[in-house]
Amino acid sequence: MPNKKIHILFLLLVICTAWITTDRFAFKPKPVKFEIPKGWPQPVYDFTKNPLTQEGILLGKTIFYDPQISKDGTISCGSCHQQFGAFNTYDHTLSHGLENMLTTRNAPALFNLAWQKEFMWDGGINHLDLQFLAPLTAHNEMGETIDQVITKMKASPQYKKMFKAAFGDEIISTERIGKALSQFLLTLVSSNSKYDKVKRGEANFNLPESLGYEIFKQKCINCHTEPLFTDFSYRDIGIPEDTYLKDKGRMKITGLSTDSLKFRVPSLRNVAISFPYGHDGRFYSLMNVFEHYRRNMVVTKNTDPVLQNKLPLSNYEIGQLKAFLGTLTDSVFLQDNRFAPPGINDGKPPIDNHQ
Amino acid sequence: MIRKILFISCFMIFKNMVTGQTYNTTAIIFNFNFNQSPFQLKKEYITDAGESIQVYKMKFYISGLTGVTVRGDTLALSKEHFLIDVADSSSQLIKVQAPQLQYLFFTIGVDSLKNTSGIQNGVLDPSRGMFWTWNSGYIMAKLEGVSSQANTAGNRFTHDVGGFRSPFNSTRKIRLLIPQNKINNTSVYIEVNLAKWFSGKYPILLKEQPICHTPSLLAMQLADNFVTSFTTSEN
Repeated sequence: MPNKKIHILFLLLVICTAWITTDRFAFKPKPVKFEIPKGWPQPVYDFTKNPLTQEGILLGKTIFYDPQISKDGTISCGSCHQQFGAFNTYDHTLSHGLENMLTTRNAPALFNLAWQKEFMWDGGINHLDLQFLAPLTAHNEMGETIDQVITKMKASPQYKKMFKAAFGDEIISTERIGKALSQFLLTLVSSNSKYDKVKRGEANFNLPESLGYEIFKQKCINCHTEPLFTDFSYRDIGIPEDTYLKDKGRMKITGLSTDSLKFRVPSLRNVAISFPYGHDGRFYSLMNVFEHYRRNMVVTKNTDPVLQNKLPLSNYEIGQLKAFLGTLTDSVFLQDNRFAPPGINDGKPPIDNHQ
Repeated sequence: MIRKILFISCFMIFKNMVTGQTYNTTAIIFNFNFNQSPFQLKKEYITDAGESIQVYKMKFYISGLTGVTVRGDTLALSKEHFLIDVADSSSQLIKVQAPQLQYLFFTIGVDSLKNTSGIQNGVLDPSRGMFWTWNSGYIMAKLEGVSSQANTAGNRFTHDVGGFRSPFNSTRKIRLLIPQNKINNTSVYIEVNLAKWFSGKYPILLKEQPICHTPSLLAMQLADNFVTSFTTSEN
């Protein structure tokens, strides 16, 4: 009786399905809603593939601040991405790796990553989940292998518990590490600067700030587009090649000579506290950047069309622009305990000022 | 694990009983040679250009396994990616369910969606050493070793072929005719002649080009060469 056999097998299938899914029913991480600030575009990150949960975010933050993931246990993500510098390396030109090694670039500030499609100064990394693999495996950053990191985590009862809480079981994989880190990084939203409060009608610019905003809209907004203050394009802004670093920027990724010396337009949010500036940190202060644009640019045929005549700026304009750029500092973000290293409850910046 | 196996086997039997569709298992087997001599890692060979080489690593991805039956029907054989590794004989055997096939198609490399949608698992896990972390994308095929002609540290040459975007898309389509001299053909033998890596279409000298680490013209030429490595045989 083949019919009877089918029925028995079907029953067995139902029982098996129930059995295999019991763990799933017990697994209920607490979902976290991702808030899109009013007037901002839709994020590009696909949250349906990696829904935010309290457990996932906590795991991501733990990994972010764990130096054990580096080869010699000295460097964490947080070593080069410090909260008080909007997650850049505060006051350092090139970021530092293990054994006193320097990298070839300035660690970029980290925020509003849900709206960013490509990462690194040259845009070489095409998905946020993948980003950590580059600094993790680079010999002059963390110098570690993925297999080793997983081995170290598997040996830790705490990690096992956290992976189970975030993903339903104790399996530790490359994918889960990447997704947990992304969950934490996605929560780094900076949208509470004075500029944002003015836009929401909660505050007013003073005179230099509002004059600066008008100048900004004439001279800078083309590339540093609101509300993210970058259009995420790659441009040659006339920064001559460093003869030691020989960094060709975007060309390294695309292989196209037209992309030589092009780098991603950085966001200007938190710009006043995320010095030094430029892909190799060569600009010590905002004043150096303004001097570059109005006098020191090396214009070539690859230089961006809008900057072929450099960017004329008067001393008066620079003064007002600085006042406006100061309104992009988000002190709520810089001191938010949710993002602070474990054990540190006060994200106050060091007393230093390079403006 | 036991639960999963039980579940899957139960599901497969149930599915077969309902659909009534059963094919024979066809084994696709990769064999490696160097100009017809059996290939071994770390053994010395002489390329067609007269350079000596010893290979330490040789791996490549294949995807999109498709068959054309003797009746002319096209049939997707697997949606999986496979990582074929000279050092791992179990990776050189792929079993698929199929009727008798006349043609076998597959792609060398990883499809572009998998290159752009975050971290993958299984053979596509970046921890398998076939992923570029600084310029996201898979290494489609790699051949690494030493050659006294390579003017590099330790005479090492590393030919890592990758890139999925135009104009340097290094994936390649392979189309093989399966010999039909046997009744009940349940095995397809694919011979891979690694000498062609250096000479199949473009002569590549290790003296001049020992390193390939980027999506580039060299990667495209090595990919074109590698296509000519593949033939089917009758045993």
